[in-house]
This record gives sequence, structure tokens and C-alpha cells, in this order.
Amino acid sequence: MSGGNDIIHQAVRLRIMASLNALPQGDAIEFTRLKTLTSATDGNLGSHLDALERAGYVTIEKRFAGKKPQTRVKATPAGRRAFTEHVAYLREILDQSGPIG
Amino acid sequence: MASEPHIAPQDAAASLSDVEVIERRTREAVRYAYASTFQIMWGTLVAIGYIAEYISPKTDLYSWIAVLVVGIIGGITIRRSRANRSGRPVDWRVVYGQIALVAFGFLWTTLLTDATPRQINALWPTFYMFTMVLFGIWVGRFFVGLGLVVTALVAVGYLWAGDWFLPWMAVVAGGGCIASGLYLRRIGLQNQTLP
Repeated sequence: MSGGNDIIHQAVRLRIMASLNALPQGDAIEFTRLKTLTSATDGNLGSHLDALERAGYVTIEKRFAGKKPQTRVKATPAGRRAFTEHVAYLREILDQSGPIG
Repeated sequence: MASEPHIAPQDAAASLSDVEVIERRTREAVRYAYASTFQIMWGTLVAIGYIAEYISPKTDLYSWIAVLVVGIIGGITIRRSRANRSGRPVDWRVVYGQIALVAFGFLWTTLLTDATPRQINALWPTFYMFTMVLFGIWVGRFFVGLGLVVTALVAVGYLWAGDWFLPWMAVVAGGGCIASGLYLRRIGLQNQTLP
């Protein structure tokens, strides 16, 4: 069995990576939209994004769209790979445990 | 390096279910964003088409041909522009689908010689909205709702709008598409994921 990933497995980080991984390759998502999609709060999302960035799984870009500051988040190739492997690991756990009652 | 967590099967199942929900929501939001520009463009063109027919009924064929040609060329231009910026190829299947839709509509507009202009004017948007419902079954519930609501409003106008049928259609079919496009832009990932 391949190993799970403790960084990604945390619930909010798993949602963040699921959302970023569902985007077309190379695309980024704006912080506020990611917050809505993952049902996270500002502070919560920010701290988990920092953890994922430190692990090299996401890149965070801050810029201005007109006069409004905008934070954009994108999964790195390593992040996509780690997420895919972790999901495969979760599936293996289920496959090996049989039906859950 | 990430350490390995101990995960119970129940937790794994809950996490996978969470992942599935988030992936679906994200993909829907991406599709909604892509669709918004086209909805706004077609809504504007269709509204112009109905108003033009209301003002000058005798030239309606030419105004509708102009609407369809501008719409198809506009759609190709938007797709090409996005493809150039994103480095991804244009998905020509959507363009072919639109051309097939228009060809089908023209075929029946030509063959239904006994149909009144009012019937034809009700047929086109309900046909388009029917494809919207089918599209929505695959890509997102929003399109199913839009298709059903606009079809119902077209039927209301067809039966009861009297001489105001064409302005009614401009508002319902054209305005409905524009309003839905603006809404999709708000809930989708426009300006965030797209170049």
C-alpha cells in the first residue's frame, strides 16, 4: 500500500487541494472563490494555504486587479501529484477494509 | 517530508466523499465561468434580433441571419482568443455543435411552411433551451433551471403576450440569457482561473 500524506489529509487542506486539482492544469483560483468552494473562513484558509505553500504544494501570488488586491492560488505539479497519491491511498484503505456499515 | 497518517476506513470514506463534492463544485464553477461570456453575447444578439423584427418585420430573415452569423463568428473569436492565451487548443466540437443546432433550426424554419412567424419565433428559443436542459444534466443544474424557466416564459408569451410577443421575447429569451450570464460570471471562476 502506498503511503498517505499527513499534510494533505487535514480536512481543509484536502478540500483546498481537491479544488485546485480540479482546475485545468496551470490555472489559478482567487482566494475568495476558494474560500467559498471549500467553506473555509479567511483565517483558516490563509493558515492552511501557508502550510501547503511551505510543503511546495501550492503557489500563492498577490497582485492588483485594478485597485483591488487579489490573491491567487495555484497547485504546483508536486501538489497535484501528492494529492492524487493521497486520494489513491484513501481508496486503497477502503478497498482493503471491505464495505463500511 | 510528509509523515504518514493513520486513517480509519470511515475517515477515508468521509474524506473521499468530501473530495468528490469539492471537485464537482469546482468543475461546475469553471464551466459556469466559460459559459457566461457566451450567454451574455447570445442574449444580447437575440434581444437585438427580436427588437429588429419588431421594428421591421419584413426584413426579419436578414436580421436573424446576421444575428446567427455574428454569434457563431463571435463564439469562434472568443474561443480562439482564450486558446491563444491559455496555450490550450480550441474545442471545435462546441462550435460544430452550434452550427448543427443552427442548421437544424433553419431546416425546420424552411420546411414548416404553414407555421406562423410567431410559432417560429417561439420554436427557436425553446429548441435552444431544450439543448440547455440536456447540457445542464451533464454540466450543472443551473442550466437545467434556466432552460425550464425560459421555456415556460416563452410559452406564456406565445399564448398571452398578444402584440407584445416580440418585445416579450427580447426580454425573456435575450434578457434571460444576459441575466444568467451575469449570474454565472458572479458564481463562476471568471477572472480567477481563466486567462
